[in-house]
Amino acid sequence: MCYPGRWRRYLSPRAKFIVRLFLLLASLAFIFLGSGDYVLLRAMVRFLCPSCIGLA
Amino acid sequence: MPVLHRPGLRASSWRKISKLVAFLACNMGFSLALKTGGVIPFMYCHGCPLAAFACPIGALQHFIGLGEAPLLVAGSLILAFLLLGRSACGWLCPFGALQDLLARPGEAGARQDGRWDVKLRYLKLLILLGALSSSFALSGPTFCWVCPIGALFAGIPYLLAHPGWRPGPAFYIHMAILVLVLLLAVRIPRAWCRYLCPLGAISGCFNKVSLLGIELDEARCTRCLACLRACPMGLTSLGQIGSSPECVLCAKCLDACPSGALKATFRTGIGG
Repeated sequence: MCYPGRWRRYLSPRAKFIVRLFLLLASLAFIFLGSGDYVLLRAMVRFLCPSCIGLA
Repeated sequence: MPVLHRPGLRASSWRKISKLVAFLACNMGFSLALKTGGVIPFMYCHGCPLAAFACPIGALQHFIGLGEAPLLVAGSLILAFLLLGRSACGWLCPFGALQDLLARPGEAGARQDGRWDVKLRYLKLLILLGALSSSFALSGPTFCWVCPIGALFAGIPYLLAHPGWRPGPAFYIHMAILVLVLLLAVRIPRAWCRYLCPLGAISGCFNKVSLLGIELDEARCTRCLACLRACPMGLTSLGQIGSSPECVLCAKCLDACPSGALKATFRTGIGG
């Protein structure tokens, strides 16, 4: 249907577990390391107007 | 493995409620205190006057345009997609909900001509790569400059909130793209999600390992294929349900299945 054939291959339960664990740890590490970005994101949500994204 | 779907409790009812709640939650930023820096796992423009959360694609482009690694955005998205897979497209996304409303009755499972349908589904990957690389090169949110979701949820509300505002040519370009996408969605169910959504290109990759999923009980399945006829994403085989990058886990197949062979599951164990 979509994406390279490799992705359609069967993933064993152990492989899925390892991938899930890796993704979980990576996401938590990213969130921890990037927590300072929250202020920037909040400012973006608070003060962005459509003209800032090319709507005007 | 807990089974989330119970007989008699139709997924369609829950889907309508969740879409409404998600839309209201996205628009609760009517005071500055309610405008958060949280990132949602579906596209909703934070240029909307009432936006309460950041659009993930807009935020990714913003950080990449600044030359910074979007760690918080990436971490939030990976965590959300690991838990939910692509289900936010089917259960939360307001633009997906609008496309479901626009789809003509009986068109839900309409499959397109196989050859170009499969090729066009790669387009969203190209759009994602193009958006991120051009944001880096041009130091700006380039995809936002043409995004139809921004046009609908930020441009139009802004125009209504500021009647004196004179929109420029960029606004009309946005509107033209929005109209084209919506017309396409009338002809092809969830055309935006199938071919164009850059966030769907990311979240779809997680379907294979996401904890939330849809599973088929082979013993109960009668191979009537009612599930595939009900699928708005045009899946073509039973094996794709729940694990294909194209499945939005909307659970319309669950409602359509006469033998109850499909069930939504939350895979908490090692297996599955």
